Amino acid sequence: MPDDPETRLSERRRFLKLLGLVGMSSALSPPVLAFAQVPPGSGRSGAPEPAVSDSARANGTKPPEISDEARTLAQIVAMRYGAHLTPEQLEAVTREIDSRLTGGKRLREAKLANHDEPDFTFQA
Amino acid sequence: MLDPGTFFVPVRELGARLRARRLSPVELTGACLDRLERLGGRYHAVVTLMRASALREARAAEQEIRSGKYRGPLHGIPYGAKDLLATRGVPTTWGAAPYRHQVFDHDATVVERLREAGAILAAKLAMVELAGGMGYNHADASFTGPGLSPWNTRFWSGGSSSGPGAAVAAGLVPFAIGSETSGSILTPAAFCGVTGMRPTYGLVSRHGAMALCWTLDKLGPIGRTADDCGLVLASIAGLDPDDPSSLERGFAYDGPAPLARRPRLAVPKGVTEKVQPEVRENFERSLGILGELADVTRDVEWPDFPWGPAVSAIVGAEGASAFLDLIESGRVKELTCPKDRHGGYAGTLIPAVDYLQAMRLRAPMKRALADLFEKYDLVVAPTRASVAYPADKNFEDVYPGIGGGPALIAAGNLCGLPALALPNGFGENGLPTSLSLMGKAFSESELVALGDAYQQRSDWHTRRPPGT
Repeated sequence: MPDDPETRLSERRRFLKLLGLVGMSSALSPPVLAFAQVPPGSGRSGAPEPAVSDSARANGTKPPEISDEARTLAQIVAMRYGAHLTPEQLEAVTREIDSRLTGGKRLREAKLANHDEPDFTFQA
Repeated sequence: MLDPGTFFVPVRELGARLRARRLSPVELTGACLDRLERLGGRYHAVVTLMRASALREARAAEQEIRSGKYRGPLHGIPYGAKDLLATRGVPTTWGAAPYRHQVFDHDATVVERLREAGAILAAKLAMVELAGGMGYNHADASFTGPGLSPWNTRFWSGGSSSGPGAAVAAGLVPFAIGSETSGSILTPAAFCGVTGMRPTYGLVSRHGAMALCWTLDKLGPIGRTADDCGLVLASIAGLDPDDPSSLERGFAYDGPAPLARRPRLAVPKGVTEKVQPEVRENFERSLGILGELADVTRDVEWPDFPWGPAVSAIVGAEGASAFLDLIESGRVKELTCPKDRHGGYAGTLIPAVDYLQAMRLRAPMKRALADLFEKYDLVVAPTRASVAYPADKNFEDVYPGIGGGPALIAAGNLCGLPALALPNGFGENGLPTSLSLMGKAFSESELVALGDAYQQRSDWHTRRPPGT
């Protein structure tokens, strides 16, 4: 994550807006993962963070749908690190993955030529 | 007993008093140590007080100055370092509980260079844990407590260089060293009403600094004035064999250069559209002052790139790699901010292709901004869209509807460009607002010159927070 909260906020708002549009279609598909693969009672000492912000909870706002793609990728997180995560944390990670997928789509949409190299140089 | 006003005197003037022996390094350092001890806790700004070594160095500085061995304008000046800079034999905590007992056997290059310049390290200063690399969303994101603004302690001092911002604002140290990956010098400078400089990538060695993101991390000064930032930068810039990203090119500076001609300033389109009203008013007033010194062009189109997603992918991937052991071991659960306890896991799944796309985009991004800097010398905008955030709320719940327009901080960092944040007034709850200048690579002289000229015509940088 960038350490600039304003950039993050703006990306998150863009993401929420996008999800508002795609929510209808993804709501037709049941979630691939219901977090049942998290080993029960294993290393969940971290305090859980609500997946929904306090204000959204207070307003009764329904959280945006999470894409199937994000839920599928979250299975990998659950398999690798499930012992370290509560269900609430894994839900938050899944939302974060979804946000990153949206950002990744924007990166892939950018026009680049074959010869455009990554901007770092390896030196032997 | 020093006059309290002494703690708000710029470095250049303090240096002149020390050289003329109208002020003693031991007296100044001792008084700063006392203030750090007495007031530091109010802002959660201090991690480690360096009393014994600081007083030893101060006595040495006093002896040297007395004997005519004058090292320069920082000789005998106490300072604070963000606690991600290694200091031999003293804990370097990175603001994070899992590292609170970490001790290195070497000093960061920046610390060494400042010692060579005669500056005295008085304290290791607080920071957001791991410089925010795990995606914090709350001011309470450090094992030393939430960084609080000296202007109003119900509000955040900004991050991730929260201690450096607060300590300079409260007159605990004359200057401090912060770090920026994407906003971490400019934001605390803005929220604390002080002057902060993000140098060009590679100008300052990062050896001995915690790595969050190798291709974006930068170290820079936070001080009272643009001139002070120039003085400090001149002491820390330059090639370092221990940092392969550091550059031969240094930064020579002995005072603000006169403006050779009227600079051409660009105000990007949309930078004040969704900002708080006071931020807009103060920015307009600042433009009035800058307009006496420069040609200002408004509504300049900002190049359209996915700035936010690019910086997010790069910091996410490099940060997950840099802290992979912490993430995979599950020890992230020892971090303070609940979001940081799980924020790194999504980063481990960023596809290499997305990371490479972001890194490939940096070249056309740099070309686009280079084109813009053919037409304009500097870009000017409000540093932040709002004043400091309330310290007791999640970031996503503060100031709804407020936003900053083009992602200038992300763009400047992705392209490695320098920027200077200057206080320019006050907004709601008595909190400071700020103005930023950004230039092409290695334009630090121009930034300092215009920043200094602005500060000669305004007095926001001379204001003191209540109770300091």
